[in-house]
Amino acid sequence: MAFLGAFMRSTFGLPKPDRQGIDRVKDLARTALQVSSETAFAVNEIACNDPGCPGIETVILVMEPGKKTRALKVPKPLDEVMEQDILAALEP
Amino acid sequence: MTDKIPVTVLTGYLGAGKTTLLNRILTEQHGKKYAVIVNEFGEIGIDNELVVGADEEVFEMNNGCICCTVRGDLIRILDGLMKRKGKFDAIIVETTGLADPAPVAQTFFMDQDVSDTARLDAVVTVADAKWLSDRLKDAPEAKNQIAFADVIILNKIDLVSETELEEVEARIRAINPYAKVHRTQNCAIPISEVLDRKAFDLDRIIALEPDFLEEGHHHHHDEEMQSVSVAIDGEVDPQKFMPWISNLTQVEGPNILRCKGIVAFPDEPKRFVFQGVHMILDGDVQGEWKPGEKHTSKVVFIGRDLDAQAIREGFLACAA
Repeated sequence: MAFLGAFMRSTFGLPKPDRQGIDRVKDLARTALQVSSETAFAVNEIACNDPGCPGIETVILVMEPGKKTRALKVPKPLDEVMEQDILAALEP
Repeated sequence: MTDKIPVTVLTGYLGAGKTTLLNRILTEQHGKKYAVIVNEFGEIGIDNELVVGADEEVFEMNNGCICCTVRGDLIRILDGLMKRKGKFDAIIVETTGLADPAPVAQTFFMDQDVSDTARLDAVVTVADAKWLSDRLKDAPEAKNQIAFADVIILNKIDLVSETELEEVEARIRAINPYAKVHRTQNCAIPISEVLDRKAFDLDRIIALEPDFLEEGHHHHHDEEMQSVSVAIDGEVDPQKFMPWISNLTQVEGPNILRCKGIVAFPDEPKRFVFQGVHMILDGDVQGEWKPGEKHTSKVVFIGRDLDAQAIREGFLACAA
């Protein structure tokens, strides 16, 4: 069933938790944003099949206590995100 | 899988009896501890130290894509609850009477932190036997909640006649023939029928296969929301099936609320099982075919304004 591999990844591609990669980007975001330790981050690599969506991008949700959640979008896979990408995503 | 905390999503229209059910779950003697996430501290107080308030923050991960919406508040609350792991056995997310269950369900598929630590167990919908038929006419959210459900608690049956009860159940079946329906008064139901249903586990779909493969017969037809099921008395060709299901869920994703399927591929000793919410699919090979067992394939879609004929023809064209 080797043929299934590619389709399994694209069609049935649920998150494959990559703890290290996620934690790395969380640390980068925490440094770049200089937020308090109570701030929670959610980092996800999105490969949306919707024609209206871009290809693979990394979405960082920043959840500061008492503030509305912000989303920072970096048009790169999780492993390629650098601190300057996060700073660039902060620009309005 | 086993060490992930099961999460039950509890939906239902205002006044259907969600709070009654919650209080029942929280106060019965079962020796378990449940954390409850609520949007509003409902019409009746819930007295429990593990009830957490949420602010229903629906978040689009991608611009305007219905399939990438998650509940930011859930991610944050689950993150906090996980730090207390070991103090409770399961989590119940009570959505407000008007909420769409999709972003809640999708949070478990989309967010890597959440899917690491918790698993979506089932969507349970409480419906008011007296008023559900009216709500289905005037409230799209009520239809969503029925279409999405794995378990439907048809409550307040003491307020309607047997004929009315059959009528409302037929309306439910027209939208969702696959949910398990329980008739109750005061939401009196064994907790085991509500919690730990494993409705989103692929191996559980296999366990339900005999029911799943049975064709539903209902006399009602809902103009807007319906289920489409197609069966092939044999195997399907993966080279045709995979592109078809991929394209269908991409194009029709916003209209497809839930889908499930069990299909047989030639030369594959196991069944291919999948399930999904909108465009997000989870699928894998599971459960060996027994020697001499008949290989059959079936897909089911529940959604809004689905082109049933196109879906039927599309799947039948995938036959091996």
